[in-house]
Amino acid sequence: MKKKDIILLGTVFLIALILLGIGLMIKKAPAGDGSGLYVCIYRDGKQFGIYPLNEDNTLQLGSETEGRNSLVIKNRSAYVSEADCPGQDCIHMGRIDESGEEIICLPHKLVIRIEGGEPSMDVTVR
Amino acid sequence: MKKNRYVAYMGLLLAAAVLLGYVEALIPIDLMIPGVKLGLANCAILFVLYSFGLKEALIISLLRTLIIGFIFTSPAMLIYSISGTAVSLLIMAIIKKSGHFSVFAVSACGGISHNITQLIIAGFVMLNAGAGLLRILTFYLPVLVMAGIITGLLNAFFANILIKRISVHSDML
Repeated sequence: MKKKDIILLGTVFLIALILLGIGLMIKKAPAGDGSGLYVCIYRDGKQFGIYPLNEDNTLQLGSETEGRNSLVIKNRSAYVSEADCPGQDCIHMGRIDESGEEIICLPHKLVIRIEGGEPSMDVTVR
Repeated sequence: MKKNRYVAYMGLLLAAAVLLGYVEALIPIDLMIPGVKLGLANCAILFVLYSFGLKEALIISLLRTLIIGFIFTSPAMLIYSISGTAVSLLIMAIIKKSGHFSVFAVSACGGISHNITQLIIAGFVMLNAGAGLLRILTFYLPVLVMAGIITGLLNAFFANILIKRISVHSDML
């Protein structure tokens, strides 16, 4: 390989790498702030709360009769930190951060779903 | 006599170029990126370009594309492959003619121009399908350019050996 080959190909490769870097940065940016996404909370099919995903928040959901769940919204993701149900499935469902994802607490008839924005996938299998 | 040899050599090289494309399809290397392939046939084309000339390389590469297009892939893909082949060969010939570069740069530029040409044609389809121009420019273009350089260098490595060891042009032309 000649020196001129290396200079030519190196330059082209570098330009491509920079372009790709810019592309990856552009792609990451809109996903970062979580604007347009909302945490919607339903009990028994009726919506009773809606909170923006990009504002940190800790919510106490329910009462003695309905059952209690603590919902934490932090770093543009939502999760249930505490629940007084026997199974604790809602805690084990972990964090949700993309449109369309859900946390469900069956004994309390509670559904926490992220809505708004573009749904990123049809179904998440855990 | 000379003409007979010429025809025989051309047929042999065309067969080699076609087969290299087939051999490549047999190697189970998945490069993960759609549209990126090694393009082993370019070894044969490079060899023809260096040992014979642009005219012969053009004939063989276009015939190869037609044959591959009708036998292995769908004729609908011909528009991609023919344009990619023709543009990359012309770019390679120009860079070779400039005299400043070796087989490696010639082959890599061939790979780059082949990929860019196909991207431009695919771009019309992709833009209609909703992919943004920015996305094409900042993702597909650099990935395909880098892939073109890497595959081009690999091909040049093989073609370089061929060009050095096989000298047929003296009694041919």
